[in-house]
Amino acid sequence: MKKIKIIPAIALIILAGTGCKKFLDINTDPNNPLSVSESLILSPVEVTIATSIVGGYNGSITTYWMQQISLNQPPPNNESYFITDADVNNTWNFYMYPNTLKNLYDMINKAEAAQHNQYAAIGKTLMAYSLAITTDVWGDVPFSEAFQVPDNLKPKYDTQEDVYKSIQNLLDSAIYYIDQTPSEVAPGSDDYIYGGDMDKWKKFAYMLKARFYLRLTNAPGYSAATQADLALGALANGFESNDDNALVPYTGASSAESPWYINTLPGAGGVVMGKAFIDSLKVRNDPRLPIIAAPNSDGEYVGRQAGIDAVPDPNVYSSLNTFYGGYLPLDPDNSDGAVAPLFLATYTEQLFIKAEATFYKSGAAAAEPIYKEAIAAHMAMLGVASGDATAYINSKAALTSANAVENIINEKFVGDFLSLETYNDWRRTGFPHLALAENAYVDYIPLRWPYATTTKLANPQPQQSLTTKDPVWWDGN
Amino acid sequence: MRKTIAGTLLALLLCISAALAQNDVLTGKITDDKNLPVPYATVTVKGTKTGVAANEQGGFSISAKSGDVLVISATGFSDKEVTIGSERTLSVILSVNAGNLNEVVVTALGIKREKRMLTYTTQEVKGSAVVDAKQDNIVNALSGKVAGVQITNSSGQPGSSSQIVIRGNSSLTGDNTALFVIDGIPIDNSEAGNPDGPLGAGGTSNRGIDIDPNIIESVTVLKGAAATALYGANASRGAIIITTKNGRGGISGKPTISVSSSYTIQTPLTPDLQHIWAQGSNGVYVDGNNGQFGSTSWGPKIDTLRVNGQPVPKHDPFKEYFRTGHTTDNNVSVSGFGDKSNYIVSYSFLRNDGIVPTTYYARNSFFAKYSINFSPKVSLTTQFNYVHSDNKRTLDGNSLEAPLWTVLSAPISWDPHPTTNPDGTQRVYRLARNNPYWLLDNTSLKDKVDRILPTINFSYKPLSWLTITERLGADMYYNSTNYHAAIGTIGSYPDGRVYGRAITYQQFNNDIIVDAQKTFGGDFFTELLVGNNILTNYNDNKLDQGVGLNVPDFYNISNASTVTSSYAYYKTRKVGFYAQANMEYKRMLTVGLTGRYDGSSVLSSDNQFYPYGSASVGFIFTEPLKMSNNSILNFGKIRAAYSAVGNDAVGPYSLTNPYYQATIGNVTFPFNGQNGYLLTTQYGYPLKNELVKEFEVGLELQFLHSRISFDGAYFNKKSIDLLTSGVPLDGATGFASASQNAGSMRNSGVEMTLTGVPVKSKNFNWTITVNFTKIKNEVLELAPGVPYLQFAGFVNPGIFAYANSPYGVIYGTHFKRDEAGQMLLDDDGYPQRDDNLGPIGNATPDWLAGLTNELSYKNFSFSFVLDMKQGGQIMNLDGHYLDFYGVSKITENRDGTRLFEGIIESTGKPNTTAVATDQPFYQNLWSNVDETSLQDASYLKLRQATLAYRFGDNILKDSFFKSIVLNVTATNFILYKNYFGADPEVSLNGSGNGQGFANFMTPTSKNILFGLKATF
Repeated sequence: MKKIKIIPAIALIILAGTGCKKFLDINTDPNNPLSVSESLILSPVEVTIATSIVGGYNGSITTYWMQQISLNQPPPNNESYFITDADVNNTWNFYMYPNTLKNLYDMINKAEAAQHNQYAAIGKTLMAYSLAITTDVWGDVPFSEAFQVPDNLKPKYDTQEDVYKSIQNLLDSAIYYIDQTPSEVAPGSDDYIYGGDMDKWKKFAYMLKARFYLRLTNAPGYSAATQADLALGALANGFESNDDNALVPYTGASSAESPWYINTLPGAGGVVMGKAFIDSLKVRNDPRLPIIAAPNSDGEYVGRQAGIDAVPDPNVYSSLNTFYGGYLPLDPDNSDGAVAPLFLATYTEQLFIKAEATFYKSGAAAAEPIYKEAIAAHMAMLGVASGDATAYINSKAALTSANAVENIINEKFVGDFLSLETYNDWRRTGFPHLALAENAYVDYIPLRWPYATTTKLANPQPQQSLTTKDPVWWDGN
Repeated sequence: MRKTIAGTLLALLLCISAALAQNDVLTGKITDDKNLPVPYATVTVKGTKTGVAANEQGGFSISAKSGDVLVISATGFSDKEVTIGSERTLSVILSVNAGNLNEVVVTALGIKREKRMLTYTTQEVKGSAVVDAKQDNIVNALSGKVAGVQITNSSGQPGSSSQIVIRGNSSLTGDNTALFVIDGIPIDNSEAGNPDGPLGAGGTSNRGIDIDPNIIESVTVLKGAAATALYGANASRGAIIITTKNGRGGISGKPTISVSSSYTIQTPLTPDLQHIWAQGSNGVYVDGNNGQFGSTSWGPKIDTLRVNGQPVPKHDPFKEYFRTGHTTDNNVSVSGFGDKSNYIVSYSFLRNDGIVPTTYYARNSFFAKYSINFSPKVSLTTQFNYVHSDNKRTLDGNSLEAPLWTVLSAPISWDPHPTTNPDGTQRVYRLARNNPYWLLDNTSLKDKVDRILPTINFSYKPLSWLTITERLGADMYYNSTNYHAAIGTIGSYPDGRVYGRAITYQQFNNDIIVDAQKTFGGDFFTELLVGNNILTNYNDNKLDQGVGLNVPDFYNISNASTVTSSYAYYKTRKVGFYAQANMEYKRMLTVGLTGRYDGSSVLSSDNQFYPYGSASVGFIFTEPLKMSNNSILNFGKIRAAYSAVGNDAVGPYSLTNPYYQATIGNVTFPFNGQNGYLLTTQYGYPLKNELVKEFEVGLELQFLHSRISFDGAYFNKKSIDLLTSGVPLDGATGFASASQNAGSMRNSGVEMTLTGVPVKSKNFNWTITVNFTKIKNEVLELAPGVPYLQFAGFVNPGIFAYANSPYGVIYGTHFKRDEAGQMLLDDDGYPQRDDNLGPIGNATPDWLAGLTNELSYKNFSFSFVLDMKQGGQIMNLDGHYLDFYGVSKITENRDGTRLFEGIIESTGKPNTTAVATDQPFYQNLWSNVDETSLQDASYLKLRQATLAYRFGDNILKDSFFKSIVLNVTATNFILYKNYFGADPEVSLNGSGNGQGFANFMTPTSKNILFGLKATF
């Protein structure tokens, strides 16, 4: 009889056991979606490219090494060419591959499957744009085997030549999708760059084709003339004015400020104008100087010599002016810089590409008016008074076959201020001439970035033994 | 005495007879042979179910008639039987049994068992020792007292967290801290952490800080998996089993009122800084007091410095910033018991005004417990614990909003006051940093907790050998964290910021336990237990952040120009079925088996359920040898256990790859009117449980009639299939990392406790307890093809796990060395920074030891606890900054030289040239090599020294006091360190993984406390 009393207790336990499976099936994330529309991916990817990449670490390194911008910190640091695997890790392992390329990859797949042609086109254009940034700093990089978790955890690195072929294919495919019947699911205000204007996206795709054709002028097995031809062919469908500029706008509100505004805040450690750049503008009496830079505490334009020791008060140097996003330490209430757009590609750049390509095809005389048109486009973009612009342009020496590339690239260097293209052009053409930074950590300006910590750790590949002294494939030097 | 003590206690709890009324009440007092009261002894009438517990002063009252035999037993004393005559008052003197042979300890699920018969390691700390430690955080109260346990206090901020790890780290990226259990109910001891992350804000409280030491009867530390297997997954890291006080003690029917109060003075510990050189560079003074800016103290000597002919006042920025802290701790409790019921009500109020101005930690705790026996078969205990705490901190860590940055690096020539310029902007000696006093006035981090812990324990004993227990408990709290930084704060949010985080946590635990105990034929005692556990956890997490404030000095979210909000809700469920069998033979041999079958909602659906268990044996070899009266060795026991415990140490929703609302650098979404999502960067593989396999052997010996006792254990624990997040992936795969079952770890080590009673006499007693722990920890493997992974810190320096190294590798930059470890110097004789980064140190200590001394002479008692940690390193990133700024002590000798031992790299010859250790040396080389900031974390601390005086009964007998005890206590005096910061016991990562990393941390303090305790 006593044992009978145990039975209900045991029964209770067994009862509690039944339906356990269902009881435990509650592991569905209520906080975050597992799938989102292309529109919701596109917006943050555009901001990632602008804020984290072009206006982020890539932008900082480029402008330090090209001595447009200087960091008032003691050497050794990034400015004096001290750059480690860890320094570039966030760019490779977060901003570029997962945040940008992987999200674009998924967005493109989604758009292609649903025949959302505009999203497929925009995705491919941005993927080409970003992939080029990746290969330009690292050379051989994964692409054909990328984005295959869990099937392939060790994607091989494609040669840079193959990557450039992929880039052109992506742009061709983008143009193809733009020419298809537009989907009713169409980008609009989610596309910060063009607001869903597919005509402009098409021009941007062609402009980029030209940019990337011209990149290969010195590449082994490629000729400047052929690349110039291809570039000019693409440019015929490219940008037509500054209205076509590809840029990401910022509202300037808190948590919506322009990247270079954030980059130049006092907490960033003293980011000021570079001496070589300021001096070159001063020597040429360039009317763009006061628009690009703000005067120092003595009211003068003084750039910081790259690599020297930090000075206690960075206000002895000129700061970045508000047009490109600068925070003005001497005028802290002025937050105009916070609303500055971040330029991804400009009509100015396109005209310089056209000038250089025209020079290869048709000589200096043919290139000269385009070269001047390019300067004028940048002056117009900056709002330089037309008289000042004309005076400056008229003061430029005539292009000759001997000086054309140097003069074009030197002016392009100003027109592409803060653009990643300055570093690519410098490696490709050697212009402008840059002196080594003081206290240089290595005795050369790096020709590439080191591979990132995590790819070396998780995906060992033969290319990882290259040093920053080894040029990338298209460098040709 | 065939009946075990466990059985007796069980009978006590359940079966206080209603039939006692016919007996006369007998009162008595229990003392030891020095006439000191023996608290909380158990008094039973032999052969009946009648029993009571004595109070703290040894007093008891029990209904017994002439001729009855009373059995009096107390922890640490030999049992005594007294036959009642006609007397109605009784004095009982118990003799000390130093070996605690019959000690009863609380084991898993709150089951009380005789320590003698256990087959695994436990160690008990008395509630009084926890109280006497005088720590706001109960975790710290255990420091130095328990073998096999490593405790690390994180910071000197009021309400700061402390980490407790038992038998070494066993998880790579999951929780490594012990499970906390109060009266059989698991409770949360997590650390919410700052929304800004530990690196740039420091830690928060671990929720164990909510436990009021005043309500604790005892703490049992269950160390190995064999001891905890019954608890299931969460206890595979060891468990801290807390038993709260009940109302027993004193005189039946009369309440006992107890009041205690203490006041503490806290003096901050100080780091080593230079006090000679003024602000400036290259010996040239920069006048930060008068509008010049400069971050460094490489100026002239301040003693001879003249500005306009006047000397510059010298400051001690560190000492001037801190204040003397104060803590008041007050407790009042009322308890009582009758035949069928007992109760206790306790209220404590603790307030600590920290050594950092404006900071405090205040805790109100209310505890009530009521037990009643409805019938001899049915009993019920209900208890309720309510805690309210308020905590205000400043930020610690690598953040411009952490005041310590400009406290530690401030030049001695700088007067930090006034904090603002006439135009309202901050007045600082340098650019791009905040004035620390301005931060005190203009930033605020407040943490508030309301927590309730209700428990119901219902017990039904249908048969004398069968008990069914239903135990339902909850742990519910609301934790709000509010921060603001004013407009004008230098840093990422120059226009000010407010955030508010609200965490609502609810955990419900239910156990049904059926326990059968039977003695067969006098020699065999068998216990069989089966049970079911359901554990449900809800966590609701809301964060609202506003930036760009409009109205100055107004810190409401409505004042923000941009507001972002996030909300997350987490739900987990676990179901466990368990069984335990213990067989004891002649009180000399015990065999124990446990098994458990768990299901967890967080694992992949095809791997939700997993079985595990343990087998253990204990043998008292002195028993068959009849040595219990042997004058040399009177007790000896060997024990062995093997266990395999499954663990589901991963958060919910780890199996999928969701999209997260995007935050990109400074830009938060929605941005420009559009929302946006990016795919997670961590790939979620399907997950199964991890498994901890542990083998343990132990030896317990007692010599010289138990005057010396020894308890030692060797364990070897291997954790496999570790649930690991952040396994690095090449980002080109589309994900930066993965969460997966990957890697294994081994902890093997010894734990030893040696207790001796050198002096035992009428007036003078002396007890020494030494404990020693040495654990060898090794990460055996990580995910396939992954040689190391990072889990805390910056990349360099950072805290990593490396295969074939102990957990907690410190990674960073180091000097160039040859294969023999010789420094490779440049042609001038300077060390060179190696471009290759790598392991430079390790946070895991070599060994830990504690020494407790308790001396009593008449009414005086004196005790002290020493705590020693040997080995292990700390990355004190302060070194990197302070060496650069020229404020660290090492830079004082800046006009000197140093001969670096090593080889000139170009010639291969030993270096003979001393080099200048000047500003360029420290700025360009020394401060840029992480290795130079690596410090020895060893210490020897006086954890606590207490001198107490108990007023004698002759003084109190005519007063209404039952007892009065006065004490003076000193805590946290560092006796030895080899560390340039204030206290090597520090962690920027709070109680989380990533110990061994510090940066701009509030120092701890040495404390003097005055206390009074009285009962009425």
